[in-house]
Amino acid sequence: MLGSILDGIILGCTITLGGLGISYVLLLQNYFNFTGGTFFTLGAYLAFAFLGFIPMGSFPLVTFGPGLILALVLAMIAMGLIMTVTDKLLYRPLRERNAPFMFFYLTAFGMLFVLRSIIYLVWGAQLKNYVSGIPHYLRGPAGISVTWDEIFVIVATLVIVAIVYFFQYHTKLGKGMLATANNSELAELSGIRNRDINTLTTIIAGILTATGGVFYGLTIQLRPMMGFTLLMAMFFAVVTGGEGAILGTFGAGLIIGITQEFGSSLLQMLWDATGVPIQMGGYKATLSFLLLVVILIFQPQGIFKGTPLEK
Amino acid sequence: MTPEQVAEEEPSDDEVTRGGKALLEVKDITAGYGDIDVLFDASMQVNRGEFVVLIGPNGAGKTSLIRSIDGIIEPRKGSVIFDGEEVTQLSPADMLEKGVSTVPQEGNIFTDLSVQDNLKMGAYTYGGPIEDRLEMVYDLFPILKERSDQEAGTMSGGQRQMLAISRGTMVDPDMLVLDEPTAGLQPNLVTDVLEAIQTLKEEANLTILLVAQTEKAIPMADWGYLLRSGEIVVDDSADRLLENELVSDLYFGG
Repeated sequence: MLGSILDGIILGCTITLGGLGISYVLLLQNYFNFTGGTFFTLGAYLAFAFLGFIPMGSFPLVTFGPGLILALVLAMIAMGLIMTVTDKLLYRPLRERNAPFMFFYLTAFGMLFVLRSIIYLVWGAQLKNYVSGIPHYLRGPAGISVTWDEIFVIVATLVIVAIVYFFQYHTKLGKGMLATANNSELAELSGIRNRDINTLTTIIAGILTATGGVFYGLTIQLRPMMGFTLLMAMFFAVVTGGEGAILGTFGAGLIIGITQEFGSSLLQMLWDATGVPIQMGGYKATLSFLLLVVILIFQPQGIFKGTPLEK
Repeated sequence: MTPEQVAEEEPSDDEVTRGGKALLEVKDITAGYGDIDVLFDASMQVNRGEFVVLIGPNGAGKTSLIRSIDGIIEPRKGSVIFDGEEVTQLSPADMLEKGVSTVPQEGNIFTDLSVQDNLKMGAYTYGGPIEDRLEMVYDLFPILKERSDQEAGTMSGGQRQMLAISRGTMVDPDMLVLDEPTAGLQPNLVTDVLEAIQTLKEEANLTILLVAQTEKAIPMADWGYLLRSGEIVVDDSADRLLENELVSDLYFGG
């Protein structure tokens, strides 16, 4: 059971990164990007494609080498570009016409299906892995073990969250983004160009989304539906963590990751003990949804309002 | 004196109406929203170093005229010229770059940011160190220094206006456009804010275009315009504006 908490933390890290990508779009452009989960998948598969041309090499302890880091960087750049082009072609015209938000949601839904079809078409339905080596485990007390790949993902996520937080709250550009999110007309009157800020936001969202996807592929597997099945968990992290709140999204990402892994293990034990033939593996997104509903009823302002995590 | 110097000291008739050199010229602006026009051939001029007041009843189109100048709405007809350069369809950020800083009537502060961050955002495009600019506004409005870490949205109406004016000044503009900065304030605060604007004008060597609902602003001004139903109907010195029958009838209730 303790192992499932650890699994939840690792899953929570990938949810956080995908969720931050969605959160940035929501903060600056005011719509939930339903395509966020599929961008997450696409980022992971693009890194897989880049690895076809880049020798993996090796690092001590972990199963991957510098090739994966380079593939990740290329996937970040590619996703930044893809999301920027998508924004310019599809969403900017809607923004400039002050289109109803339903148009944004319909467009995002449409993009979700298009991208999913492309992923199936190019990479097929079979599961894939970045590496085929046997992972090295770090074994702790009470039978807990964690791979060095997983430790890498946790540490890297912490570093990325810290960098994003620093950028957001301690740089001029980051504060310009907050100002634009707060009052876009006044920001423009202050010389903070909305168009530039929107482009920057989309690039950052692309980078974070790709990173989340690659980390998921590294610690679990590459699956065409991986981002879609995590979409509800990402929405949970964004909504309950607080719109644009980096630490809040991280906290909520961990909570939902642990809930999905630990909660499903717990319920599985219950079903097994009572003879109910349910496999919880297929109901993790349902757990996210149920927890989201409960929190929205009892704590609609987010779970970290009034705490240091609300930023 | 060379012909060039003569030309500099004696601007052409086009550049001058009432004895000064125009910093801002608004020529025959027609503008509106959707299919509806709210401004009709409105023209005005603000000379460098002047304090110009634009008055008019509610719904006259004052804010629309300001939004046409600062680039928020695109005029359907007419032109805006700033410092001799056509700037009619420039964006607000471009207008700021040219030297025009606007303090809108509504949504004039970043409510989620701290007081200090509001001021820093005001200086977003300012090239030099902002410490001197901060000191200037803190000297003028000490309360802003006391509350520099407070979230701006939690401040009182008067403090918000002080912050809004200060934000607009942080970038060290040539011209500050203020859209009803005294709206909704208590009478004593109205006087304080107007005096602060006057001080700011002198200390920062600003040209001011002030949209006002209060007659208290008129005596402080050099020149004034009365806008009624989208048309400029009075264009006169501030002294004479106070005595104008239309101003009395239409604006101050006769």
